[in-house]
Amino acid sequence: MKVIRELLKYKIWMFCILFSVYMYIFSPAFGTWNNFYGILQSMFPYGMVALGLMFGLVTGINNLTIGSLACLSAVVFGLVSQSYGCIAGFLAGVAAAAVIGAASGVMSTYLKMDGWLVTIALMIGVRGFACALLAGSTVRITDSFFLKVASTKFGPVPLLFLVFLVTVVLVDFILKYTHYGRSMYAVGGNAEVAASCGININKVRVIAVIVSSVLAGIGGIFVTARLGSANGDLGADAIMACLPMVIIGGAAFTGGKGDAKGTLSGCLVMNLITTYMNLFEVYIDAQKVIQGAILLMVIIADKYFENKEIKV
Amino acid sequence: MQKNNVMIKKRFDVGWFAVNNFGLILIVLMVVFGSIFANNFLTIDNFRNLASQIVINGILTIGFSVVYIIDGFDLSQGNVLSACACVALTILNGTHNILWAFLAAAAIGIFFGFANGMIGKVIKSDGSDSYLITLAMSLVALGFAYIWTKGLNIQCDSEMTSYRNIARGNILGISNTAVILVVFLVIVHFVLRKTAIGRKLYYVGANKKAAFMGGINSHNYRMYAFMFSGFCAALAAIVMTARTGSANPMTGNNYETDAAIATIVGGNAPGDSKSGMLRALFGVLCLGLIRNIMNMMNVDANIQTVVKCIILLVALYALSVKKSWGGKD
Amino acid sequence: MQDYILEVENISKAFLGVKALDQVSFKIKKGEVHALVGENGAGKSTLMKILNGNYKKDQGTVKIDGKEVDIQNPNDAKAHGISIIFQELNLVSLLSIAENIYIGRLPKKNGLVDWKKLYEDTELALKRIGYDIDPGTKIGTLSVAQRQMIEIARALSYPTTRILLMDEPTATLTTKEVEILFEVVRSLKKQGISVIFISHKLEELFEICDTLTVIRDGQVIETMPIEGLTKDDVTSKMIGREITNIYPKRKKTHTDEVVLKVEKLSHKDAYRDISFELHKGEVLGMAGLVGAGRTEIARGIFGIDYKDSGDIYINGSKVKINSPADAIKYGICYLSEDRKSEGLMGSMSVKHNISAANVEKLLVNGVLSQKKEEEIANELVEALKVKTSGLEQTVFNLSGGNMQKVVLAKWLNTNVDIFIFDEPTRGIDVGAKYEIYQLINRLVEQGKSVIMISSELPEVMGMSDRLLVIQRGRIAADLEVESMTPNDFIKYAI
Repeated sequence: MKVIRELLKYKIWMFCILFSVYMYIFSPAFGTWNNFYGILQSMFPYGMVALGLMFGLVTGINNLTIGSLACLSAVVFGLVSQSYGCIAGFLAGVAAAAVIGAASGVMSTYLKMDGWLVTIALMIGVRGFACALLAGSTVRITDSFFLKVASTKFGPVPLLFLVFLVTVVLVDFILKYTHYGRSMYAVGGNAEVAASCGININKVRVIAVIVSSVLAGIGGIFVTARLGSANGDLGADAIMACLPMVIIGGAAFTGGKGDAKGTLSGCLVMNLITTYMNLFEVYIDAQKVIQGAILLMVIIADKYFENKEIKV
Repeated sequence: MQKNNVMIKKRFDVGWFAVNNFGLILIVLMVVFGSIFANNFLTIDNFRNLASQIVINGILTIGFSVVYIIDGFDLSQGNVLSACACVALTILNGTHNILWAFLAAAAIGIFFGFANGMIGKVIKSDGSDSYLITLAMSLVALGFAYIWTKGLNIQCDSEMTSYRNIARGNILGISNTAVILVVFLVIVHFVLRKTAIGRKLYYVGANKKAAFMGGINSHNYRMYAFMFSGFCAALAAIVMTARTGSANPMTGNNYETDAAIATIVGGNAPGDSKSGMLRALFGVLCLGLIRNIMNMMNVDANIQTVVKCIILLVALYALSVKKSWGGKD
Repeated sequence: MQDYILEVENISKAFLGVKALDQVSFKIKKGEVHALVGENGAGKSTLMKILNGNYKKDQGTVKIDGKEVDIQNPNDAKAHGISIIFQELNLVSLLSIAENIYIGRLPKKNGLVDWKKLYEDTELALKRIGYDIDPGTKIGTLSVAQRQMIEIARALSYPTTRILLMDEPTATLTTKEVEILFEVVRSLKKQGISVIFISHKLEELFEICDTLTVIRDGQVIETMPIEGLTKDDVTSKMIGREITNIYPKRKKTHTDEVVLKVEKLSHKDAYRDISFELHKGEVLGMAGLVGAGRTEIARGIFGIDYKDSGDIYINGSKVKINSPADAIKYGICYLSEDRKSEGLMGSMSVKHNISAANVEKLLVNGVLSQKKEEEIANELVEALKVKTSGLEQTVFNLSGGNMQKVVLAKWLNTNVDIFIFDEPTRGIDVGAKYEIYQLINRLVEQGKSVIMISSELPEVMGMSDRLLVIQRGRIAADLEVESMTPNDFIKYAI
């Protein structure tokens, strides 16, 4: 009995295993190393963004700007690395995301502006700013070092995926073993109680948004590795893709829940679903509808049971 | 104590006026700014242009404002508009009947609104849930539009000039579409202010629990508001397709953000009895003027987006300041 | 002198000119368990909040261990050794016991959270109160009684804690849970920690406390040792005044005609087998301790909450009430104890709030009439003597009593005949209270019927014709008030 309860903790992972087995049986293309590599490679960029989303959600902040932040960081990275090399470009891209994140955090907390609307306003404005920087064209990523790093693989395992795993472990560590990380859960769980126990909830939230934005930015920078360029549409579907990952992975819209490994499992699930739809040739436009439907189901599942007893 | 009260009161008066009449101040600033920095700004022609330009945004803002009044948010308007546009033209081309096209578009729009509202009802949502619900629904609508059109552009049959004339004619010198907007605005204003349904929407937005305990079915009214917003997306789709003669899944992309900005900059707030069509109009005019001036100054479209975002943030700040004063009169 | 760990001298506190505490003084020894009793609004909570630093006293001194202290905020209080456990527990449900006890001050090692020490410390804290449970358990899975234990453990985890304040700790506990709590309190006594208990449950206080202070109208009536006290002694000091003077007289209005009959209403653990009748022109009181289930019953009748079983009859015919709209249709209305969030649209005007339950009435030729709305509102504002700067005033800014009047005006603007008042005078000053009582009298004189839920015994006895005593979700007694004494209530309610 206890064994079963322990196993249930890993239900998402188990679903992934079962799903993979199913696809292995029914699709010849699934069992190839190429396919394996493809899945791991595609998990990385949006997986990073999902980590960022989860980080914010733990404190109760829904950072809808992540898609636009990914775009901004990618564009800044592309432009700066053309003249100053990819390290400078990377730092510039991350800095851009951090600055926006700080502004967003301060506005939603210290300035007491409506958090949702702030992230939505920035979602629009930041993407517009990124497009303005591009001045109508796209920027090609030509830095050879960066491209080399992006395509390095050890057998079927991409280097970048390992980087992603390291980040997951790092974020997990921060959330579990630092005082700050634990106070994030307190703030997200019940902000009033946290405040009355001496935790500075504004500070905790601002830092969370900054980290969240930086993670999203890093994810965006690495999206360019696959595309070979950065354009104004980068990350436009990030929220749709990452929200289910994060909620399936155990986070909640109301805050106080979520962890890095769970988000990893959610990321895997969503990627497997996408793989399924590609391998089994699900009509590409139906994929959008399915993605939207998955998100709706996730939203409903999150709140329906909670509110079952009340009438309004 | 006395002294403090008097001093604070003085400072509040100017600030209070600014915060409460944000939209109006912005319009005045825009007009002044425009007459200085843009050529041909203060001309009849330009204002006539303006009147046409604001129609689509105006119709969508009307729907958005109603949803905002009940403490909701409709991020699906843009893609629902695309879906309605594609369906409208297909039906129009197939039946050569304007009424059928209109009904088909309305059905699609109202359906998506119904879906938004119904999900909210099932999970007993509060205001913030509608962000995510409509965001997801927006994706569903986009997918639907792609499936419907198989990714292709739809052209209006060249025979249907009567349809295209919806957007071409003038009434007393003002374009048809502007007249549609004004008439629609007046009707909705009447419903909001003078009918029982309209009044109940305000109550639901102010406190859905108290409204429920007073006998109003809060979640049903929220649903009606979303259905109305979907209808607005359909109406805007008709105007747009009549103008351009074509439709594709990206036709309405991102139009909801302008509707959101116009709604909030105009000063609307959930459950606030002063919110409504007048403030929506302010917001639409603001946004229209800003766009008009920036176009005349040849400002890059992306910079325009950034400017709009900044204005929205300032409006949000004004709202938060207003809130911290606790709605004192 | 050093005998006393806490000395409170001549504490006074007023809110907006209304005196909440008037020269309150008492003393507590080390290891003493002290009861603080008094009716609602007598000042007990205010006193506790001053000791805990949530409020600032206007006058008086507080001495701890012989030294005068100045407590400006809860952190000061903790530093001086005072810890409080409020009724609304201060815990984060999603976190574990350990993280709640040490929230904001998790033990560190090399800059990182020292989980091992955290769990060890938590186990020690739990041991101090004799509670054996895995420190990793999430608070959300615990019952209220268990959560209270955690709060006590947290209070004790501050090494300086010497005085524990507990506000109605047994209000929602079962007898067994109360026993466990008392065991903990006894062990605290042995450890030299003093406890101040606010409670209504006199029987329990007799079991656990050493001394007792009665507070009435913000003043200390008497401090006495429990030894040899009887319930009657205490109750008479608590209530102390002639009941009849405070409540307006009314003519005999209650008839035999049954307007509302409730049969075997049940909902999960909240209430079971509730059956009673309400007569025309009657005021039926619903008394009981906080948490007994009265509000839940009213909300079940009114259709706000789901119920499992039971029938409702209006004027003899069975009706189905699934929502407030149904209830209103059948002539029932409910005035919630939480006026601000359930009774009013705080950001809207007086005028709009009055129309909120009957929008259709404002229609003239199918269109909402401003004129009619103002006429109705003016009439009601005048009739109920609502103090407001005008119909346009935002309701949020009104005083408690006037808010209640606006809610009542809203219902008078409908066709309801049955009024359920839930704590009608909570948080309202004495003058406005009397006005509300008069309004209730007027209602029944006009042939309406009233159910009045109240935790203030004198109020519910002074206003009702008949009284239902609710205990732990069941009807314990159905009495004619004329033949009742306060002790009857205590006998049934506990």
